[in-house]
Amino acid sequence: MNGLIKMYCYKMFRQKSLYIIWVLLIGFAFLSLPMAEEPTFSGLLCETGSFYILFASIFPAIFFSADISSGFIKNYAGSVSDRSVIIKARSLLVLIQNILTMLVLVITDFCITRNTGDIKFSILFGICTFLAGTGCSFLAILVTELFRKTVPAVIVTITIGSGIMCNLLGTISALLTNGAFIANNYLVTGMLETLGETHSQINAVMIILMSCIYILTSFIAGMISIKKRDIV
Amino acid sequence: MGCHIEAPALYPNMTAYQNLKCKCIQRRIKDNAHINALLELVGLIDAGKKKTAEFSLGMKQRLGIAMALVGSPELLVLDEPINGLDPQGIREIREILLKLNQKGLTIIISSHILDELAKIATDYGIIHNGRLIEEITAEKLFSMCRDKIIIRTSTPDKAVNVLNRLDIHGCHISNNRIEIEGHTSETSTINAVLVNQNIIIDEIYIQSETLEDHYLKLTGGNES
Repeated sequence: MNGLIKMYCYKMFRQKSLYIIWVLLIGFAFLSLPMAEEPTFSGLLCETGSFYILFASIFPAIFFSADISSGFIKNYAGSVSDRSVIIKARSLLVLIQNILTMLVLVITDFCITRNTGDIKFSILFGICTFLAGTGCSFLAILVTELFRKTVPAVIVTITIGSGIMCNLLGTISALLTNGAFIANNYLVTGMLETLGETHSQINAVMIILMSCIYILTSFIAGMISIKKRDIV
Repeated sequence: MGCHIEAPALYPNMTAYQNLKCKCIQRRIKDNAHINALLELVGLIDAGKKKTAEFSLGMKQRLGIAMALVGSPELLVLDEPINGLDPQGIREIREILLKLNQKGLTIIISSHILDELAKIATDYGIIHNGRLIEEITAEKLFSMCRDKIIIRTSTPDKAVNVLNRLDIHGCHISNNRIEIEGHTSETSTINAVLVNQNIIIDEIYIQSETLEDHYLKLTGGNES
């Protein structure tokens, strides 16, 4: 598995999309500053957090579907004794990518504002954003494994990771069920938006729980799928 | 064991070196000289910073073979390595395979391009409907596929006696048909001698059986 992770890392740092995402994130941070309710670190983090989640979802979808569309997966999937190792390596890579992207976000937000604001809330919101982003990334790994094609994988991950799409899903689900079920309430993106407004600890706990559910279910489902299906 | 399955599996936005490096990292091979040696072997050492997306199919196939050779396997399995290649590309792949074979590497090639196989293979296995129906050495196969003289006559025994006197042996008779292996350059002499001996010849011709004919005969492909 070490070899596989190192190979993914080698490839990741040679992917332009990784740096494009970082540049976009920095750009959004600068653009979001005038829109933030408070020009503090915590205020800006609430604005830029949703972009981080969106990018955290898109990157794995592009990165891993390239393995399948190029056929490169054939070069290594046959040489591992247990194919679930591939999902484990992918999960570790998105964890590394999420830590690095979160660092970029935090450093940028702090350098722009130079004012911590509510430091306790910033830490809580930062943890929630990171976990939500990681949850969405794990979900993106599963979606890529299930669809095995770049376009549907990216569309589904944008739907999960984008705040706008999340609200749209919430509206559709509420209309279809006469308000009995609102999908927005169960998607981490929607929950994070609410947390930014309410600063509620219960909301934060719910996000952490939901993110852990995303991570665990996606990880297990991904392992089952890659073991049962043929590598194409 | 290394394998290369039909279409080369490469990252299009990476160079040949980077693609090989990816596989070396995955296989825990730290020696960069191994990558350069493979690039040298397949003639891609000068590809430089060119992305594999810009490679010709022949270059991609050669890089695919290099990818399969990462870790110096003892056995190389190639599935249709020359599919879609131009004559130049086919020649390049053939030369690489012969070079590898000379170095002691065993190569199993799965291909439907039989003429090309005939130029390099030392042993053949013919698979039909998922079953190995014949395993044969190239020497034996080519002796079976050698040119033959076919003579049709109403008196085959008499004709064979005459042929034996001419020191032509190994004639096979079936019905009124005589098969003579080899001696194709003496066809006109044989014809003249048989006519002089008052043997009526209905037909005399040279039959060549190619590898393809042999394959079709075995698999029943001629029936359709």
